Amino acid sequence: MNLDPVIHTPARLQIVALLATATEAEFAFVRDSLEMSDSVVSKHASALERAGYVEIRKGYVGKRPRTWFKLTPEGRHAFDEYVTSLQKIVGRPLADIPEDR
Amino acid sequence: MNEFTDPADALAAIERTQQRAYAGQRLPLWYVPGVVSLGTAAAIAAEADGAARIALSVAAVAGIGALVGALSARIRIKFRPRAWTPKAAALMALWIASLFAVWSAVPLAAGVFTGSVVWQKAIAGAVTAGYALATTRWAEDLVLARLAGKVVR
Repeated sequence: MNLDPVIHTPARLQIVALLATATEAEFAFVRDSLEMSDSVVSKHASALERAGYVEIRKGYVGKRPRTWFKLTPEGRHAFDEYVTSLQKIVGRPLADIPEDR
Repeated sequence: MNEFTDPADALAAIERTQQRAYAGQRLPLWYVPGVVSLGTAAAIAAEADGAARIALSVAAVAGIGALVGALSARIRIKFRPRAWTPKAAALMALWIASLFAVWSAVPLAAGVFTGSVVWQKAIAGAVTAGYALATTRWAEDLVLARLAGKVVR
């Protein structure tokens, strides 16, 4: 398969797929939803950031520090290409895209 | 597993992940009943006089502020507006309209049993809060099923 190697590992693909549904997601939400450890999320998020696919923003809610992840336009494009390639290979459209989209 | 060997597995993983992400974007169950209750307090305040009116109004405004603050503090994922489709938006609008319809209709029915406007509003608030509590997840399920596809890009 000729697929983007940056997101073709299960952990990175899951992070990118999750971020594709949202504008931004918090570190703890990614960790809990994907049932990954802090270190695994950090490692793969950093790799995605280095590739230019994810933007990492640190901020505060009250006095609590929070880290937010966001897909960059390049990241969305890479995910789009990746899903399109998978769908071509599998030979069926998985996406349930409504006609009025 | 270092990478997917079967593309169908990769697509299935994407689908599962995105369903979990959507589930995480649901409103807390207490939120809409909380807004209804505070709106009811404000409506009752309009019927009261003097100190009771001021106290209820201040409590309602402070409560709304606290609810918004609590929701902001809890938000861990921010919805992507592009995921909304006209059907999903229409369903959400219909559900919100149904809340207002219940809130408006119950005082009329309660008027058969009591002439007190305050009691009519209190009953309407309680019934609407209960209706919101009972239907929030159902309405969310309907809306989530009509967002822009299982695989959002």
